[in-house]
Amino acid sequence: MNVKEYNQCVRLFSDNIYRFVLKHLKNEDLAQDVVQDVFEKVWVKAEDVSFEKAKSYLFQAAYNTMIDAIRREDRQARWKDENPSAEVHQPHVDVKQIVNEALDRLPEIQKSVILLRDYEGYSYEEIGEILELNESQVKVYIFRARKTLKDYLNRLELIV
Amino acid sequence: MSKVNVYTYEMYLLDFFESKLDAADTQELLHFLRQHPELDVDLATNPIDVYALPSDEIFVGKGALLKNERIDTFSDLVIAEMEGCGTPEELNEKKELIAMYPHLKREEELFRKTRLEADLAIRFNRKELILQTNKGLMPQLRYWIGAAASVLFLMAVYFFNQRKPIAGTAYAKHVEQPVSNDVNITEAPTTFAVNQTVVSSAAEKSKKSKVEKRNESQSTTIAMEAIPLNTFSPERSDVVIPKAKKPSQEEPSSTYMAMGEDKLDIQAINTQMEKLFADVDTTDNGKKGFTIRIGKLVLLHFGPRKNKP
Repeated sequence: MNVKEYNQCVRLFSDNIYRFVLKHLKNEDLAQDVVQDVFEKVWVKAEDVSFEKAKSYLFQAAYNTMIDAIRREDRQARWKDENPSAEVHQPHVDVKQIVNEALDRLPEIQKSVILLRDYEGYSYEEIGEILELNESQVKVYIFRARKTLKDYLNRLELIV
Repeated sequence: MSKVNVYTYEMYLLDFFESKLDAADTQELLHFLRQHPELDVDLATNPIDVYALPSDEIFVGKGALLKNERIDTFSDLVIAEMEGCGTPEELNEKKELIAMYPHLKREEELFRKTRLEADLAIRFNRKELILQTNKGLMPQLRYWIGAAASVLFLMAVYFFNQRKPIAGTAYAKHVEQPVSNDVNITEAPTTFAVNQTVVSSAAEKSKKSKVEKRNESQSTTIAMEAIPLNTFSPERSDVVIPKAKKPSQEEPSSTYMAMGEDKLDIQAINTQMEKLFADVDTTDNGKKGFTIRIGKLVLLHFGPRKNKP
């Protein structure tokens, strides 16, 4: 990947990666740091990464960097568990918001799988490459994630 | 005791209506009923028919209660369709299930709501920081250049006695030669007080080394001091050697090395040195010192001195 291709990657994929990371971290500054870090790492290895594979390579690097960041930071989910009132009393505006809330309750791996699938339209195989899973595992995670999201929606609709 | 009595007759009665009773038991049952007209049993009306549910009524919650294999596969069928990997047979089966169990329609709608949509308004706003210019070197090339520079730098640091650079300064290496015992070190000239810190520091070092020197006449102390670059600036006609660098009586012989400019006026520096050491007698055949320039490297050497009488 040359300079031009690298810059093309920045223009094409940095927003997508940022959204992907932000969904996990829930912290704009931290997400920006992670994306910047990822591109810096990729630039160092630019000659070893082909432009065609760059997107999945970037997502893979983003996922790993993000997981490291999550381990370092006190996860927001944990904070929510310890302070349930912070979210319980918030009115649900629309289905999107509810789904996003449900998304936060998914394990990181399921969240990543479904984000890559829905946001980026990756195939099972590509998701497997990025997250270092086999296709069957990807399928299972997608199934579980969708079922959890559906159950969450169902529960909320019953309450409302 | 007869098998048919007030406690058992209903059981026999049910068997009678279901035609499961044999002839002997039937006779016994009929005999018992005749003896107990208070029971008011109507053998002409089948009670089973009376309590049977009408066939046209259904329990609407049946679908939700059913636990059959087909319903269990419904989630898979919907997700497979959403993921675009459902076969036509699976799609048909899903439709059949919804037709059989209408509540599954809602399940399907909920599943469809789980599809996420990215908020495209969220954008990464540090792109400019990570974009690379075409003029920039490729990382690998920069790596090797950096490595080479590091090696050179380490060599330079080693050469300058591992002293870390300070912005705006050149580096001087101050070498003290062994002192002879006839030098009176207690009468250091007061003219050296311009940079008291440096002088004091040097004096302390020197005092410390003095003891060692008296014990080991061959000992040599090496010290590093920074000299401001503008000291050697070619723009300055009045080249000034900092008085702080003037060797004290406790530093009987000194050599400074400094990185200067190409156009240093060595003659001017020598003149300054002569003036600076006018009040100092040296033991080096009357020489106050000398200056050597090799490229940008300048050596300022001050000879060992004696106090004025």
